[in-house]
Amino acid sequence: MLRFSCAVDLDAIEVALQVIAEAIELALAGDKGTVIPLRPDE
Amino acid sequence: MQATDSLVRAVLSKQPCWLVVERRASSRAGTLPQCQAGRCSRPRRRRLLGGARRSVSRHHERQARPTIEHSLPCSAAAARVDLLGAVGLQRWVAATLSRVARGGWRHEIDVDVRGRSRCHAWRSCRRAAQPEREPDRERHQAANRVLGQRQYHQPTWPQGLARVLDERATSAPGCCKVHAPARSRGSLLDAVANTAASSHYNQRVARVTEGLNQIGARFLNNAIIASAPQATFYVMADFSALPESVAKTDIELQELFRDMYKRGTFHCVNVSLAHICARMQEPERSSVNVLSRWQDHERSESLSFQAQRSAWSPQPRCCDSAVPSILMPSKWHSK
Repeated sequence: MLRFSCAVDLDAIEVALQVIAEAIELALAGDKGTVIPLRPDE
Repeated sequence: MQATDSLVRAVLSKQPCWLVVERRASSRAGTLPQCQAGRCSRPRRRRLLGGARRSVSRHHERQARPTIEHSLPCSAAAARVDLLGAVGLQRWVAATLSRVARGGWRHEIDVDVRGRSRCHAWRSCRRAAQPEREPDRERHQAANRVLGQRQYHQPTWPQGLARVLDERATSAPGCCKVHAPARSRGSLLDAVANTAASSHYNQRVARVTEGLNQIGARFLNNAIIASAPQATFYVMADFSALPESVAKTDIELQELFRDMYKRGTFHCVNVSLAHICARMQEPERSSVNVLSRWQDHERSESLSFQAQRSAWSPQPRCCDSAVPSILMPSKWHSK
């Protein structure tokens, strides 16, 4: 069980839900583990 | 008496509640003094809570009834007794019951809930009567800070109210009829649900619940991931429908959400920390330092979205391996 705190802006909720959906979709598609480095030092 | 005592204890345990005592004086009800509309509360309150008789102003003396009336609650329909003085309230209840027993009066006790703290109401009443003394002002201001919205909306609050109302409905003392209108419970709970702060959280909770269930419907074979909580703004989400190949534990799932920003899925300039944060239900699985930091973070008033204008945010505060959270782009701040 994960706990989601909802005391935030509605826009933040929308984007967070989008992130969750994207993560699950990618994970189900077998794309888990593919990390694109954003910076060279990451 | 026992029923009323238990009622008082129950009410006293719920600080935002007010005890509204409504006297039903049968044929004499229509002759209640007009000055007792709840505005001139100071002398009345002192009298109600066991103050000396001389504290009753002449204005009230003229209009108060000569026997037990001015020691009973005294608005045209109801009188509000603030619950600041627990001992005083107990004394008042005992005195009222005694007088009711001797005088053959019948009164009804009602529990009212206001969308404001008791000190606000008490202060507004006193302002109409006379300027506050400085010590009182400081005490009330301090109490108001404590009794702000955060405490007013404690998660257990509606349940406590329901318990009070249930208790009231089932109590039937001999000389004092404790009256429970049929619609009181529903209307009071509606009043709780319709306060401004409650609607603020309910709106967000409903959106999170709806969004999570949409995700379940889309990716997890119509699984019901979350349900709207009662009186909290935390949504518990059950992702057990996910196959183990995705995440074996909740920690892995949180890390998956947390690391989404590394995938570059959202091609936005700014990335900031989403304050909607998924974390473990069991706090012992997280480090104490991180948990306390999160508690401090949630207590703070900076729950609103924090956008950073740099290209990418530095290591976010909650982006800890023990308590992963969701990183998200702040596209609405990108301009």
